[in-house]
Amino acid sequence: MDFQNSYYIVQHGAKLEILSHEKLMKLEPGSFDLIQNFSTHAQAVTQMEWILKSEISDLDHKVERN
Amino acid sequence: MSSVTTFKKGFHGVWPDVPTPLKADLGIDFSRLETHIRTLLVKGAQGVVLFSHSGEGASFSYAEKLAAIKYLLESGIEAGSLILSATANAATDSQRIIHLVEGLGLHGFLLSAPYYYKSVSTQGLIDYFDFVCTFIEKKSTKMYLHVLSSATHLDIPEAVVSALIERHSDNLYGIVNQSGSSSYTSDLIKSFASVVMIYSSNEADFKTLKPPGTISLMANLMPKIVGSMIFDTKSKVGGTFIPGMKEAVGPEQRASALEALIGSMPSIAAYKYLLSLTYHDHEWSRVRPPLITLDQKAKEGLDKSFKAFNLRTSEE
Repeated sequence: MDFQNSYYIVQHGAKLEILSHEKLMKLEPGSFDLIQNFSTHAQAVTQMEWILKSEISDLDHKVERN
Repeated sequence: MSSVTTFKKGFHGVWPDVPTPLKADLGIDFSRLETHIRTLLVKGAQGVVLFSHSGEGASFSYAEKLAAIKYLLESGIEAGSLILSATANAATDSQRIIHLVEGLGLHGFLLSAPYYYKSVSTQGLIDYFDFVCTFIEKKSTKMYLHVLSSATHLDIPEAVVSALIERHSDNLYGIVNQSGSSSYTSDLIKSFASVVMIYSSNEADFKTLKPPGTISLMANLMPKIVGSMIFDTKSKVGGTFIPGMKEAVGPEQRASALEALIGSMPSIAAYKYLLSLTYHDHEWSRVRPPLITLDQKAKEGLDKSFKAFNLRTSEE
């Protein structure tokens, strides 16, 4: 499969970000965690928004419990 | 131990046995399935297996499987990178899904004994496989006999394999042993490796039996580790540095550590939960009844041990 025009969610430490295939190829191997691959930028953005919303919601629940 | 030689060209490399992501209504989440498959392919998997035991295949109708495959193909996943488990309780359902999908160009099909019956004679199994396989229309369709004794509670005697090779030599490309029995794989290699390809899904077998490829649940999380165990490419993949340890840990140790981490937990629910952690996406943890998700205590334990395991998703 051709991944040249695809996008990735990657993690650097605790930070998640969206990168194009071209940008990902320039990263130092081992300097990031590849989370997922998406065929379009829009799909990657939608998933990133979902992840962030979920993590905020989880944090809210933890705060409420404590 | 002799290595596998064969005149049939079956699949090669790592083919993750993909769990099926579900939406809140327990329908198949096509979008998450596509993204998971893309992610595995970009990490070096040669293809994926859909709706096998780990994919909760017995819980989905042929219409749901067909809809998923069509979605994947329309979204750009190459048909040749998909193997579909055609196993169903009713032989006619297996025939139907094969008939409906045969023209779509998938790499091939897995077919195991049916799940429902616990005691079936050798002749009964021959008749069952024969009944399904006679409905295969194309000579080019690749069929793999799937030995899944832990789920189906049925072993596949060598007499069954011999009969299928004799009657369906055009379509039978290999035997995938996912029973966990190393001695059974060795026996299959001795008896049939000159005719069809023999695969093992037991990571512990890779070093000695050197299968040409594998169907692996573990590869959903660590496709490169599983690949390096099959092809002995330790030097290329490298080891994994775990915080607090001075030396890199090899692929076999990482595979054993992941197995130990899951332990006696139900594997499908545990792997789905680990995928939800890896993808930061709790939607991944759903299973379709009669399976149930891990309880809170198991989840909390797995959270901690998986964090300590320190999966390097780019390298493993």
